Amino acid sequence: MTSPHDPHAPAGRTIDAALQLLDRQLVDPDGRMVGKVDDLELALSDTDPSEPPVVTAILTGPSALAPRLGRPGRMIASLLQAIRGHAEPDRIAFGAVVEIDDHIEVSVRGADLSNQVAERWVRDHVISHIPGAGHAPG
Amino acid sequence: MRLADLLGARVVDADGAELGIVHDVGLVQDGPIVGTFGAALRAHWLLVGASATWSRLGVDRRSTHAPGLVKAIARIGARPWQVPWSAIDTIGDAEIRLRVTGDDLSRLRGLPGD
Repeated sequence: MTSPHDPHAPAGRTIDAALQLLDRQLVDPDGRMVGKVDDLELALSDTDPSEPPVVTAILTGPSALAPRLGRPGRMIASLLQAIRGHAEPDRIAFGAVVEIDDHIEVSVRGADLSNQVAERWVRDHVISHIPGAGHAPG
Repeated sequence: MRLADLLGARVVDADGAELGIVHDVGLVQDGPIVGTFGAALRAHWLLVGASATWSRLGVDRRSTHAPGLVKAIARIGARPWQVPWSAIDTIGDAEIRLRVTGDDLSRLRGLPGD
């Protein structure tokens, strides 16, 4: 929003959250795509709520995306809660962000994220049984 | 609080006039140091307006590169309000109330963080 040459702009890099962060690809240290930025967690100051809140985490997975989809999203969230027993999205602390570019590089490995559970299940129980699957790179 | 709680919320000024809805949240990397990222991002302002089309494309931002004709067309419509975080009074369910009026904000327009 602000130009770096704007004398009234606060010091520091500026980012439009929805335009430049939401829906960006998350990439882990191995270069694997491990989800999208579905939402951000903001923390208000305990002492002064008028202070700008700090972005504390990236939220990813269907549970994070669902609230952005209106009524159908709420239905999906309810369904996920019934299946998984909880509706909490995967949370990646913002301190684990390495770089923000056209994708977001994080220091958390995909194997540590629960949003990869379905993908791992399909890989182990379906893909691995397809003849030739063992020759796939990576 | 989540970003999704803010996006799409109606914004009402101190006189009860509706300014529009939140299209985006301006972040500045000027917070406390967090892990490998360095200074944390803090939400300094809300981008509020009636028309969402140009905001979703980002062509109403000075920082976005777009053909001059497209940016000129985007400017024909009402420019979005840039609401500093300090102007927020309460954040309710899909509604944000401000402690200032739209007239105050027009003076603040383009001056984030004031």
